[in-house]
Amino acid sequence: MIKLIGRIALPTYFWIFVAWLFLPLAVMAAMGFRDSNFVAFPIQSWTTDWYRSVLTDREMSASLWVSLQVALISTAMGLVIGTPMAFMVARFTGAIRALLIAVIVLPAFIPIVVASISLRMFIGNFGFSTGIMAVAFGHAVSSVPFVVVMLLTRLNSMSTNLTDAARDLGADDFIVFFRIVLPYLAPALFGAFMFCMLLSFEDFTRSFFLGSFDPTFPVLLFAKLRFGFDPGLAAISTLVLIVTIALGLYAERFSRRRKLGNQGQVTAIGDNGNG
Amino acid sequence: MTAFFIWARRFAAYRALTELLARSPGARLFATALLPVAWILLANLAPLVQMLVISFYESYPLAEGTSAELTLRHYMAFIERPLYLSAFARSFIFATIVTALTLVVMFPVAYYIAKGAPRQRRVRLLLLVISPFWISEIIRSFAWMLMLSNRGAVNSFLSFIGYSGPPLDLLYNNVSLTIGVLYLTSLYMLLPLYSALEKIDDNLLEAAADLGATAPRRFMRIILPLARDGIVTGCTLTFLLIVGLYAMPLLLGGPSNTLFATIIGQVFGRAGDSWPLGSAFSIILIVAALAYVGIFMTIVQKRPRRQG
Amino acid sequence: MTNILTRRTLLKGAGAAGLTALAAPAIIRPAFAQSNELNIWSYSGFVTDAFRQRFEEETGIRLNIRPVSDQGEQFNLMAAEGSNFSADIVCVAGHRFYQFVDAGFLEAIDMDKMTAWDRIESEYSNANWVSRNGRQWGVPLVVVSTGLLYDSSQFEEPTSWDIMFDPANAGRTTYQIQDFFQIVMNYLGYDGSAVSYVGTPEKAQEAVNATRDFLIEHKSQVRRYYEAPNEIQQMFVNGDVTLGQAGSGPAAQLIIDGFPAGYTIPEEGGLAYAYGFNITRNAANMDNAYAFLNALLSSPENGAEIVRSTGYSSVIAGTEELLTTEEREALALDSDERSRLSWVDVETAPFIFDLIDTAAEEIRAA
Repeated sequence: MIKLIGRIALPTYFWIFVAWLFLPLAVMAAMGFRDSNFVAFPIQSWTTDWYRSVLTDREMSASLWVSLQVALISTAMGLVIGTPMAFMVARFTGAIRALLIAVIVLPAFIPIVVASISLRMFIGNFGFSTGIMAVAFGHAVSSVPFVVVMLLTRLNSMSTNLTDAARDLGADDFIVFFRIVLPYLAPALFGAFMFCMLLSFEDFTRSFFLGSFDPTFPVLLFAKLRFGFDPGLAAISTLVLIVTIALGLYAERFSRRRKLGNQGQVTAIGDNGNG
Repeated sequence: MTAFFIWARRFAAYRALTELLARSPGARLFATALLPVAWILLANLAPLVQMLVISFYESYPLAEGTSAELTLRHYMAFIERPLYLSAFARSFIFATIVTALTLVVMFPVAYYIAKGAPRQRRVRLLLLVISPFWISEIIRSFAWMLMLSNRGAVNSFLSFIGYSGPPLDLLYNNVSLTIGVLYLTSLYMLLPLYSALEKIDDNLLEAAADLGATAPRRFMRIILPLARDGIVTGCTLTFLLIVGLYAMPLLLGGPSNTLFATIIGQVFGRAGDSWPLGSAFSIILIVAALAYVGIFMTIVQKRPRRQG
Repeated sequence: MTNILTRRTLLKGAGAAGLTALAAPAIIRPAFAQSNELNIWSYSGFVTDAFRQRFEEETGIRLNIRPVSDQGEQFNLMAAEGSNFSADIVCVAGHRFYQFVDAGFLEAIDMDKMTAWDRIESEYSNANWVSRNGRQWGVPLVVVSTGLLYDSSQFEEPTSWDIMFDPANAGRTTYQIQDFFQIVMNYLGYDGSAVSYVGTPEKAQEAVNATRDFLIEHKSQVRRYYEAPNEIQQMFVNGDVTLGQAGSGPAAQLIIDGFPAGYTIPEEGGLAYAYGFNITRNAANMDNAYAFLNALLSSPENGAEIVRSTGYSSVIAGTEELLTTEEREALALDSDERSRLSWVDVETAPFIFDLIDTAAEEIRAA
């Protein structure tokens, strides 16, 4: 009986949840076909013009390209800074640890408008100009707390037996880090990576204040949105969604195929860590 | 990759570095901490200090030809006006309730992905569930408006199945705001929960089942304690996120759902010398939220730490 | 739209390998002080694709346009930039641009260089809403009125703002608090322009408090307070509200799209103001800025394009002849309605808006 609940209730619940997530998006995708300047029910006549026009809109594609660059740079920054930061925190316990965590997660607390304006003034003090790098920096500031928190969750459960053993066998710190610690952290790193990319890709406020004359996608979207939510905005959002899902699935498939070769090793390390 | 580091050992500098790291814990701490500490000082604290300073200015940005005077009046404004206090309280109550709700809704989802679904499908399911977040928050809010408005999808469906009364007012109230916020926070709860649940050893659950532990008992005695870190992380992230929400309450909330962060956003949104007031309110919000989360964490983590 | 910009942006990545290489152009891009460029912050639709193309071809000046959506946004950005503004032209000339003037962000318009000033319809060109301290601080481009938007399938054209406070319409109205506030002050018999309160701030405070209390008392009338024009449009097309205080632009767009809506200025009056461009203090490309503004005003064709992309009326003389009958009908107010509009008084605005902003927060928080 209980097994039955696990077999049926859990997947059912999950797929209801997925439906809840995607239903509004499906409605939006349909709105992209509405033959009007506004999105609303009912859709009396249908057209593919909106989808066609956003596909050829160079302003849109340029802003998507800017957003992609910003997302990649800020994610790299976020992971490079956040990973050692998590290790640093993991070395402490008690009050120092609590204090460190509090200081690290500060950017997540600060209202976004405030954070953006103060960062803009701050980089101005250094003569650092606005633009893609500045936006990426702003996004990294906001994503580092999430990277640290997510990595810490996993680091907490990591046993030191394995790293000690490796050191006894003559591995230096770099080998231990890259061959044992990083693979163990892989799931958390993957989560952190997705987080950084998402945070960056959909951010408006920081991108606005730190950006220059090449708008990121959300900045362009906002400016257009103010003068009416036309079906074109629904269409471009739908296309972005489809492309990112496709890319995600492709990357997952690709990495799974590559992993097959050394899977045994990776799982072995993971299992030991759990024990 | 190991080959690279073994190759690197040919160089004296590399050998000296690794030996130093192996010998001295201080050097190791320094090597890990250098970059993070610099970042914390520059990126986290400096802007905050700047904001703290501004919150004591009489006015800022300064009008031409005036100089800054220091004052506490912006902090006093918070205490003097009961309206601000009520929005402030509303923020914390709302954030607490929705955080709890998010946890309840997302735990089974995370559990299914981490433990229920076949191992090789986990990443794909995860990707599926987080994919809506590639769309801008504002666009997602508008998508919910299309669902819930008086001529929206839900009302259209109701009239399709024969409901003939006036359309239901589903939008611009606490419910629509909660739905919109839940949509946003589900991601922030899911990822920490998933990474905590994923590392629970299947053998442990099986062993417990073999020994006759019932499902609720396994849940209470094994899964919940082992997922504690993930729960704490997820709740913290979610809470912080909700307390700081600015745009969504404007879009999906009603005239009486104004949250404190929205007021801060509005203060900064008006052109003029209103930064000190906004900064003072921000400092109040930050301190209060940190204290609140700190208390929460102390309570939850009082129970003995599990050994890894 | 941004042909040149786009090509440049795409080229940037095309030959690059790796993240640092991608980022490099962004770091080493020189300061914006170049003679053949002009940096503009603009609302969407104010610089149309067609005009931009013509202007760039004719003058060889490249336009860098940064989309903005709000005055507060621009103010904060300029304040954060210090005195070293990245833009030559900003888009703030509205009823609140005095804040930009007072903060020292703008350059007064040099009428000797502004050769196309006489192409602005005379009704608007010598109005005082872009002057402060005796000088002109901006070039008006579109005129905006604020009136009553109603669902014409449910209402005959209303004549009074009373309808917004009629219990029969509870939960069916919407407004932008700050914009509506002055209208309600007039509606309640106070002086929304605050001209008569100069020198007696306590009377102004009294009027603002009474209006605030009135709006809080009638909060149940409101479905939602809105901020951006697109929000009131969505609420109408989604059937969430049937009445609202709205700008003429979003109203005209709804009407042109065939939605059953009407727009009127009720007998207690509405407000009017202009949007346009301003030159920033010590702008790096000052000459190009004047070239741009003169070119923009010089042809009614530009005005017609802006009308179509924004729904606002253009101030450029001769624009109206180029519009279709439907467009003219959607935009036009009859002479009675026009006479009920009061222009925002820039000189008293700083003093009254301070009070209104605080009152608006209190209404929201109540």
